[in-house]
Amino acid sequence: MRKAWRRFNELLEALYGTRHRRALLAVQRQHNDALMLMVYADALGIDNPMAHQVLELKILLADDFHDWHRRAGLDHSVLDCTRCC
Amino acid sequence: MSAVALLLIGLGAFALGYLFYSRFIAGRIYRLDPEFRTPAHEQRDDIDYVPTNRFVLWGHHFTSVAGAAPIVGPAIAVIWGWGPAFVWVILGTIFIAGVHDLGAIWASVRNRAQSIGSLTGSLVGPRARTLFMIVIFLLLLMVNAVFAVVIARLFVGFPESVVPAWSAIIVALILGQLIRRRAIGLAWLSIFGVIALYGAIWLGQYVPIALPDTVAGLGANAQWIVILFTYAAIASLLPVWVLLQPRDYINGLQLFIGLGLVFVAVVIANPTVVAPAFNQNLPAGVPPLVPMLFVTIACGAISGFHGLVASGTTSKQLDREPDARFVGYFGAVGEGCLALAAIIACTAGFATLGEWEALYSTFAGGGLEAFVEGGATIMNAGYGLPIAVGTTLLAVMAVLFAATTMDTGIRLQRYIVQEWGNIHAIDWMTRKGPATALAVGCCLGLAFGAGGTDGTGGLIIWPLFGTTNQLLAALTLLVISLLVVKLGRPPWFTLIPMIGLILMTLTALLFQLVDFYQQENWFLLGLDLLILVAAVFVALETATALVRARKREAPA
Repeated sequence: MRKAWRRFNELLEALYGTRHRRALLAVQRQHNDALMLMVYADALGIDNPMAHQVLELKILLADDFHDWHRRAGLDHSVLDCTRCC
Repeated sequence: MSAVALLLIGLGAFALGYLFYSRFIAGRIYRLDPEFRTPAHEQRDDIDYVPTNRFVLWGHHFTSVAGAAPIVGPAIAVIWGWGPAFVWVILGTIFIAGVHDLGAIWASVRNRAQSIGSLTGSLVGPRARTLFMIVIFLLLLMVNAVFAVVIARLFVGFPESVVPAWSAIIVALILGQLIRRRAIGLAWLSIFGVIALYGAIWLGQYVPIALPDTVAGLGANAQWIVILFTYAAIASLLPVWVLLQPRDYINGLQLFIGLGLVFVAVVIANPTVVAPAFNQNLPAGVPPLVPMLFVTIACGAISGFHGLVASGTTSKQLDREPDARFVGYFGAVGEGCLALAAIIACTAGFATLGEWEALYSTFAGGGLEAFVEGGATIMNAGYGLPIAVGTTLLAVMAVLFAATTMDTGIRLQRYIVQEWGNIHAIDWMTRKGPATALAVGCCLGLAFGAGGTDGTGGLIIWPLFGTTNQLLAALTLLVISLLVVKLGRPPWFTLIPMIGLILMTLTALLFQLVDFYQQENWFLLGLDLLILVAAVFVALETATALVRARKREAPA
């Protein structure tokens, strides 16, 4: 019974997500990009009042940096601090 | 005639169509291959391309294509009697809509999940692609205008539906927040959501809301139209997850529940179909059955809009190619069932023929009002649901279908305006706000232009909406036929329906052209001419493309 309920739940979640998946992921990506900008703004020469608070995030988000600069239209990283490609 | 007999004949025909005809089409014409690697696997990105369980995908396809249109069309068309509407819905679904939807998925899957618009460009030519875009824009324009008028009429006719219809927005907003925060499982949330919605429907009968007769020279209908477009503009600017997604979802659940409630009531009550099979006593001003029946019922028999969904999102998620038969063909059958429910409600939900004739005293006289009143009577006879609750329930169901389509329609139109702004480097058109205002402005212009400032005559454009929809279906069938010809298989199963659709569309447009001229309705005359030009171009493009394809095939 519990298994059937779980399966039913999964089916409903799949149905809920199917139609608007692309739009939702686009929104999520926008949020992530805003976060990336906040973290790496000072490295781009933009005055960043949050620089101190987001310092630790630089390491955590380093893996996503390559995708982000590619999306921003830069084939190669322009930052000295982060040489990903 | 017993309504149960009508229901069983209809469902039986759909079952036979699915079991035999769709098997033939899938096996012999499209030759669906279980070994074929679908784009969902080949181009998998977990965004657009995701292999999806066929039942889930069917749910997605069916709920995306089904809405108020398969109810409105049959509800108007039964004025010619239940016979023509019934036969067109059954035969149209089995021999045209199913083949069209399944074919659109197949054509897209076989071409790296391209949309029918892109395929039109590559298979027929750039002119046809431009034509395709124009037809889509006109379709969106009309669907938004028509549905605003439809909802306004329901709000005025059934003031008990106002509170529950707007409450559905609050339910959807809360649901969206809870789902995003993953507060509890979706199954429980769905149950709570449905209970809240039906609770609001029950409450609605105690708090009917009617707008003042006139405000700033606008009647109640016109006021609702303005309010609805204001709402749609705001809703279309909100992030998808906030309102549109939970609203679509609740509507999908409601679709299954509503369909079940009507069918169960018909089986228990077995009402008599009081409307005649062929109405010999047609009121003055009702257009001739041929060709108008074929454009009055578009969704429910054949709808070009399905091709957009089939090749837009469905084809990108198809796990195995043979699943297309279940998802596409059975999706069309689902919509046929909705149209069948509408026919039964509008013809068997009345005590006497006189009562039915009183409602169907003009061409658009019946419409959704007949579906709501007829359906409520049958539910009352079936399991004793009070008439007041039944009418509110069905009115809300229709309003929610139409309103969700409006939300999506305005959003899509805004995208088109923004794209045009980008293409032609017009800065203000690329911005969300002005683009939405322009889209809404066009729709408002059509809603009032069609029916004057009272906003009551918008349903006049319903057959024009049907013709545009059928034109789109003809274009999709052309693309499928060309692919079939290219593969050296018999194209008749898609070609004959396509020719029939183009002929009916052209005849209907010419008939309406004369009608609008006699009525001196220059606005609709212009719109009719625009669609007529598009239809003529579709016919010419079709002929040219087929001759070219046959010539190419001949040496082989």
